[in-house]
Amino acid sequence: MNTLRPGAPFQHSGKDVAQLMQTLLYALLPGIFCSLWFFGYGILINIVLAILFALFAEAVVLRLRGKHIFLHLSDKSVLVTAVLFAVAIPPGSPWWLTAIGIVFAVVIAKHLYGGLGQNPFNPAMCGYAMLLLAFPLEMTSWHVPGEVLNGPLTVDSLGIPTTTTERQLISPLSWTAFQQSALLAFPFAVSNTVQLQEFIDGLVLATPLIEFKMAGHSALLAARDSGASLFARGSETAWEIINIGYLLGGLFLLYKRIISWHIPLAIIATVLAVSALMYAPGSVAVYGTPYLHLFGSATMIGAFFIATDPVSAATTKSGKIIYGIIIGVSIYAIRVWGSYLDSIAFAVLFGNFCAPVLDQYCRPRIFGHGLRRHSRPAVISERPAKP
Amino acid sequence: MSDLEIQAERSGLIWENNSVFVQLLGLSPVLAVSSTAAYGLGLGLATLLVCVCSCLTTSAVRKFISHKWRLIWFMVILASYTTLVETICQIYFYPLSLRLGIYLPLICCNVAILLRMETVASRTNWIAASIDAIKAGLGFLLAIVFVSILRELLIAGSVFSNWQMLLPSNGMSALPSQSESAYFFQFANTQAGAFILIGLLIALINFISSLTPHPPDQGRDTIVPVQRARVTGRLITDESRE
Repeated sequence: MNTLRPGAPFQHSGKDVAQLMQTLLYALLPGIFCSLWFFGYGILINIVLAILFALFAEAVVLRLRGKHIFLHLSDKSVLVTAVLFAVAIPPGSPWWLTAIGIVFAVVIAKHLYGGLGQNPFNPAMCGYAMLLLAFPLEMTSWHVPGEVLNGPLTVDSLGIPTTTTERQLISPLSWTAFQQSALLAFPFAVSNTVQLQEFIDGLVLATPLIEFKMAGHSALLAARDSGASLFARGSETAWEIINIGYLLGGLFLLYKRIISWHIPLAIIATVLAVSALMYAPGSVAVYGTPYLHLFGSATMIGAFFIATDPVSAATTKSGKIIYGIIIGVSIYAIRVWGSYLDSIAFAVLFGNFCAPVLDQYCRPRIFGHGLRRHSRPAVISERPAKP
Repeated sequence: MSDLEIQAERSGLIWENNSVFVQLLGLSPVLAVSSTAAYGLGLGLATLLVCVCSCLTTSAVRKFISHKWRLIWFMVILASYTTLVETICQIYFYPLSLRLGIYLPLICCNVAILLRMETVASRTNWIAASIDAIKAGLGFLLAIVFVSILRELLIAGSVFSNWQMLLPSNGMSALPSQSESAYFFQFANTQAGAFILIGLLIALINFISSLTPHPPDQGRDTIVPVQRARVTGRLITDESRE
């Protein structure tokens, strides 16, 4: 068989895996900066810890598998996994949570399936889902730097005396905030554990999806109406601006042609359509506005960065669109009717489950075949002559 | 003779040819019941008892069993002893039988036992059959106890909690109170966690057994076995086939 490839001289785009991953990392920067601005140094500590543990785990596994360590480490794919994982887990996670999750992601979800290019599931989301199943308490508490002040003893309407604790937000970028985030990440640095516990309890802030049954409006529009500053820290606009940051990064990726438009557009359109259909203002069952589903959670980073993982996603055009629709419907369904807080991880993993089937059935038409119904080649339909 | 039968007739049922870790037979009770070491030990002992009794009976009546209907007879023997063991367990170990649930009657579907009856017990006398059955049952017992000790350590941080269930008792008096809230690593409690744990254990055992060189098999050189999807044990390479 002639293995020489005939035909025109093929042009290479000049991109290799490392450059692609590097562009992906650059595209993540706006969202990360917005998170840093609103939620403090916790996300930065997460990223640094995740990268360190991921590089270490990848190096060990590459050594065990007998591969060239520096060649495979330099393709930066493990950095993308680590950064996506670190963005997904809550800021202020202890160091062991990051370590367990990222080691699971790199070793079991990526390398036990055969390494880069062979993994059927997104490694970062595998690590996140495992942590959510294993440590539900730690994975649902977001820590934001702040000071706790005990309010005066009051009696509420039922006659129960309560003390209201008031959280006073401090600047997330100050030195005190950095100390708080570092203490959260490394709890062993504090000798007084009781004090640490009180300290941590005061800093827990609910994710917006806990509150989304109450919030039925856009905080950005409210800020426009009330004249509040967009970038005021601790304001309601934090999640929306972070999502807009990831949206900008995703549009940059589209512009650089790292990803195609099929998967993000299908996911966003599906989430928009389903939430617009289900949303009924004033009804008893509050499902959240479409705007909240798009910008009040992790939909943007899921649609542009996580679901478009070229290894675990569907590959053909029609397959990509169906893949995006599956993920969009599962994002909405798990978020609204499920018991987990956010649904990106499970929805993307479910889409990854479906991707091989989609690749099987959504093949593009081969040029010259299948246009007309009875245009089979004569060679195949020819039967051997009867003796 | 298929590859599975060759594999089943190799010696070393406890370690080299363990029915769980190497043959990958009887995995569903190991996955389902191994959340606590006491459950694992209970089910392992029941399986060992059923295995020995069934293999002895099969060896005793092997002259009267027609080759054509042998699987039906094996199932009848296996199901009889399973029912017997289940009844004994319900009389004397009622809390344990409640916890084990459906997996106690499902011993009669344990293919590891059926394989011993088919390959060894129906062809040899009762001494060889009982030795083989004890080895196979002990291998299963050790495997399930090993997995369940590891899982209990990961889930609750304890080993052999609720061990009182393994003592004979009357009625519900010994039913322990379970503290379900004290989870340590809850992921190991799920089926996915058990699967991943068993997979890692198989990898570890393959690594350990690859450290010691295997003695050349006598039967393997003459027969070229059918290539099938074997996942554990020593893979047949081209050098060993030549």
